[in-house]
Amino acid sequence: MFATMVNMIRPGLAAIPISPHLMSGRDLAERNAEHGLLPVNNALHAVLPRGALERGCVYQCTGVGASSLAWALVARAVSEGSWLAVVDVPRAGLLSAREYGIALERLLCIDTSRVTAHWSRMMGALVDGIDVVVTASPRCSTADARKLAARVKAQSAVMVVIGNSYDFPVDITLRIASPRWTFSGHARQREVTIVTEGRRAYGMQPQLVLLPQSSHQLVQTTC
Amino acid sequence: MLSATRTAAIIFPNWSQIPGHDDSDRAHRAFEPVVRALSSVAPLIHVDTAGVALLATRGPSPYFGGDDALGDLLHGLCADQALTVSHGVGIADGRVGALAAAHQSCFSGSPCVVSVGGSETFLGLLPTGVLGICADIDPDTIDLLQRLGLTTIRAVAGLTERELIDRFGLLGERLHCIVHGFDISVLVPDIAPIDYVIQHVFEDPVATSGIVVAAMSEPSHDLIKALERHAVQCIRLHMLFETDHGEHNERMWHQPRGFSEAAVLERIRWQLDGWLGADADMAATAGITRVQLSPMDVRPIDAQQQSLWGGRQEHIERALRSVALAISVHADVEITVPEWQGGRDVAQVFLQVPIGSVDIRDHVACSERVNSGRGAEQHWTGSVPAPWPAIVFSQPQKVQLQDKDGAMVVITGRHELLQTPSVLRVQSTLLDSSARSADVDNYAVQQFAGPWPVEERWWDPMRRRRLARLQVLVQHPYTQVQYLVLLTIENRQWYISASYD
Repeated sequence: MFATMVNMIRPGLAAIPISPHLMSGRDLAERNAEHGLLPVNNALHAVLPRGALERGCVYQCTGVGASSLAWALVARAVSEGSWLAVVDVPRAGLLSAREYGIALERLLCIDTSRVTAHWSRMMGALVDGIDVVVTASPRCSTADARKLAARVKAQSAVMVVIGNSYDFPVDITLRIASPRWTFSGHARQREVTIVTEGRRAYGMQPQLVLLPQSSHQLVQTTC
Repeated sequence: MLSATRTAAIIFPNWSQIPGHDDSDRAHRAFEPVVRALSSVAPLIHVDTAGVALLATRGPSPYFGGDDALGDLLHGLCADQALTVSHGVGIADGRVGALAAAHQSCFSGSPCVVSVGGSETFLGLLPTGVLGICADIDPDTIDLLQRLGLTTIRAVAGLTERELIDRFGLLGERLHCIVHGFDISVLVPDIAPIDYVIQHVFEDPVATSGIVVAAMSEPSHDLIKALERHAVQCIRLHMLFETDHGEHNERMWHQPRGFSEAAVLERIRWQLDGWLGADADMAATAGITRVQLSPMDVRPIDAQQQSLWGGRQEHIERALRSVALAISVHADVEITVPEWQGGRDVAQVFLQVPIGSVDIRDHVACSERVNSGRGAEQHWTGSVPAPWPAIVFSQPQKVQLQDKDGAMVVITGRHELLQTPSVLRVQSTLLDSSARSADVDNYAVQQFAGPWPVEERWWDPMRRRRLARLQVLVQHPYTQVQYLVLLTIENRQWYISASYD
């Protein structure tokens, strides 16, 4: 009944964001396609301003646990068909990526250590065709960074920066604070607080998230 | 129903494991001398993957005095190649039977000849898994057959054709043919449909393979596109090269998942490099003047590959375009894809393979490449338990793990910790990439788990390794941030091998 109410009021009130939790799976997929969004794991809905990854945006994950959060952020989009390019993350633990649900057959690893002068052009070439690009150390001039961000927007790709952004223009930052690991024989999972910052993140509360859950899915606890 | 052509199969089952044959390019080039030796027996050799060659015995067999004599001759030829790898020669009706017989011959050490009409009985005794290896049946179907209790091929043959088609569709019809010994792949080629034969004539003889490949890139592209317009893919491609002096070199290339343009060009290069660069008696004595490509066998394009908006194919095409663009920016950029290798060491479970040596359009091959074996994940004995670390150091860095008195923590031969770890001295930047100083700090150990010992090659005094992993939760002295790391001790030195970022 609630869902039908939502459907009735939706046409006139399209501007009001409806929480993804209230929408059926099919409606969610339609909404994502219409509004240029890429799906994200349920537990991270509350962490992102529109409950999903926005195409054209540059995200940043910082803090201890940034790599895992980056995997968790892009996992659902990649498992639903998008390709993932991981640029300059030479120590990426791919088993960990797979644990978060990333389909490794659609993963490309790129190393630009020998061509740092062409980094922004390389990234530009990648965002042209690859939906999700994750990078660890964006280093380029301010002008190039602006052009690259514009290209990300034009190509509707998603860029995720792990760690320090070195003045690269970032739209949304997910800052991890106070990770607390629980041990049960060995380390099992950790509880982290994620604070969302950025110009679209007004009034968003810090969220408590478990990374990873035992069935390899993220679980959100109440804050 | 066609009766199958009598075929001889020559296989080197461990070809790709020979050191130096790690990528398909090198493996094929190394296989060229073997194929050339075989072409002294029969003019047309069929090559699928490196290490597998087939030929029709209709011509050579009576010439050399029968199947047994032919088998011995082929076996001898392989042995002559002075390779210490195991090889096998099998002769049977049809491709599947010959490959199965060849595998059998690898075990027995002598050529295995299956009598005419005896394929069905011969195959019947073999397990269903053989169909996966010899008949290109996909692993999911094999798994299903085994779970249905059909563990031998005779059990599969016990099902009627109707039942197989009901369950598996077109694949069921093919299964039915194979298990009854009617392998319908034709080794003696019919004449290819004229429209699809690509022929390219060079006015001046060309002596380098690179120029031929460059010249053939557009015709091959047209060929693949022409076939795609009819919704088919080429599975077997006949390649013929002719030189100025009238010498011919022909080969039948087999690619069960369909040829792409890159695959065609690769094979042109392998075949030419092998011929032009051969020893004096077998090499071409003049430049290439004519190249002819004839698709001999086609199959309908896999329905899933239809280009839907947002579909898998579109994503693959766009990714390929991006890769090509990125490479064109600068040739030194390294683009790799992961390939599963397995192992206890978290840093070595996946190997990075250059993207040029894989075909990312082939999504079946891509998923096989990253998955560990068939079906479910296999837990590697002795590995560190899940969850896995997000940052792995392929070159572990030295650290110091001390107890509260400052002495180094040691693990005994019985894999027990002698002291309780209390302080970890490590460079801050290793734990936290945003750390400002690269100083070595003293991190307080909060908790630890393990040790997980590893003993490698205990039987080999030169290469044996004994090490142990320890999961340690540490806290920064000033910021109170917690970090979880994986430490390794080997030869009384602690290293940091991974960080759970």
